[in-house]
Amino acid sequence: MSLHLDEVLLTYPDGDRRVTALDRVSLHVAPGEFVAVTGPSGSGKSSLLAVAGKLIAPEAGSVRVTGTVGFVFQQANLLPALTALDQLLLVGHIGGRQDRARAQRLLAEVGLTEQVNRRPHQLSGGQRQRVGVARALMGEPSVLLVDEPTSALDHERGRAVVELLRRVTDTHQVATLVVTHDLAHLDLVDRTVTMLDGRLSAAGSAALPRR
Amino acid sequence: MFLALRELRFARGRFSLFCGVIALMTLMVVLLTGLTAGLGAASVSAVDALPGTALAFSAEPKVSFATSSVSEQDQRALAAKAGVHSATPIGVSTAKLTGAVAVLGGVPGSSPTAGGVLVPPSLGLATGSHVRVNDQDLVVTGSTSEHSLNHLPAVYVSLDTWRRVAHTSGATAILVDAEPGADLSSAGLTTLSRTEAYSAVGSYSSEQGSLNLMTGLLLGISALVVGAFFTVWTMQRGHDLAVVRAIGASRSYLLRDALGQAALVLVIGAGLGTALATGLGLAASTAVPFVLAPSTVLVPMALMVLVGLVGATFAVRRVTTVDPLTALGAAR
Ligand SMILES: Nc1ncnc2c1ncn2[C@@H]1O[C@H](COP(=O)(O)OP(=O)(O)OP(=O)(O)O)[C@@H](O)[C@H]1O
Ligand SMILES: [Mg+2]
Repeated sequence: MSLHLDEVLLTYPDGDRRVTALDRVSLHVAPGEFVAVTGPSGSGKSSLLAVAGKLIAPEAGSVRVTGTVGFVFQQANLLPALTALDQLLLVGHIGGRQDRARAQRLLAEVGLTEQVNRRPHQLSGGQRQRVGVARALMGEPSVLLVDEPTSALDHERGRAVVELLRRVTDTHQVATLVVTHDLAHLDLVDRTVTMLDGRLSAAGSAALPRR
Repeated sequence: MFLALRELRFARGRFSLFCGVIALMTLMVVLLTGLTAGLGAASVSAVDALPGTALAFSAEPKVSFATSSVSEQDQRALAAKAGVHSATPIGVSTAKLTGAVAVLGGVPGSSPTAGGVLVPPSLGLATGSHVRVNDQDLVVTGSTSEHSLNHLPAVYVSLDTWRRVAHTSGATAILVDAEPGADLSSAGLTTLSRTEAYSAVGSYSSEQGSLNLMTGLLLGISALVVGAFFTVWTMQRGHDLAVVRAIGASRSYLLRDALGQAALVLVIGAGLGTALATGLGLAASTAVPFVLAPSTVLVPMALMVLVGLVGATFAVRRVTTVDPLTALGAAR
């Protein structure tokens, strides 16, 4: 099991009360499994990713990740000063190893062989998101956490990114958890879970079997 | 410095401008330091060139070459003290030669025969020429190194000649050559080491004090400017830093990167400014008293980098408080 959340409880301070963002949430994602999280705004989807990626520690419950985590963000969140290739090499540099060949291979895998030396402002929204996916894969993660990857893209490009995520989930055998509002692409995922007021339900997962 | 270097290249306009500011600040600090040293030498180089280990002046609230007056008893009292090898009365005053000069009388090693005067080459007087110092006719018997006192070129005469030039029968101060640690206290006298005696030259203390204050202020302002720049810079890229944290960088990775960036910019800026100041100083040193030496060039440059780093550290330390959570979509 690559990602293992058990009875996770997370609250944020809100004046003198606390709001419960995650209410005893349990979720398991296996290697090669592609799971979508949907739900209304404020229901706790981003919080779920933050806890899974250990950006915040939960107050109760446990989070287990075998291996490392890769993040893909809503607006791609590329660094304006870096070329596409450097976005990936930075991950290598942080991890203490420079693997240029791997970075180039990953950019080719997401279809950006021509754009390796472009900076974010020279890329389209879809291309940026692809660099974001390649960057997340650079650290050889076993878990991929993706927050609303399609919200800044039109339908076609959004679908292409979800297809890409599907593909890398299979080829890299990562456990992928993607937050999305875009119900149109749910046919590409293995399972859909829904957040509502901090609680997780498996609604839709049985209704939309992919394979 | 993976990120730091690429950011420098990407935001080169902003960083060039900032390097320019640092360079100008450094230019001013280096020029001021060279000028301070130059003016200091013009004030006290003749004091520096005196032999002996200490100087005794008549005790006054504010010891000064201009007002000090010592007697033969004073000289004998000092000479009799344990550990004192010699105590020599000297005369120091201002007189009119071709222009104003400082006349030093009776300085051992620079004391010509009665009626003679030693002058620096800059006065342009050949040996053997007859000169008038105040109301005394003297003959140039040789030349000395260029020394000055209170911004006047120093000329040397015997003590007797000095007494005639200065219209006095006494002396100004006593040059003491003593063993280290010897007790030189004597009633009615204030004994100062050579460097302490700088303050007995009228303008020296206030001149050096105000110049050093300006240099200090400039360095302080530089620290603030550097701090302000890096505060704005760090805040501007707060979101980027959150992303870098979220993709796995530790706090110390960000801190090292940011400090390295600041250090590089400071060294480049300060280096440019120092090079510029050295060039200007070389050109100006014929016209103004300006000292170009490692202590007046490299020390202020290093100080500039140092205070800059202090300012930058204060600004940049906030990278450690960046919350990687803010990199995530709607989570605040
Ligand atoms: N840092 C925070 N401090 C206080 N409350 C927070 C914080 N982050 C999130 N919340 C609250 O926690 C709840 C869940 O927020 P979260 O961002 O996880 O929702 P979301 O499902 O991602 O919403 P959206 O679809 O709008 O992105 C919301 O009520 C939100 O207001
Ligand atoms: Mg969200």
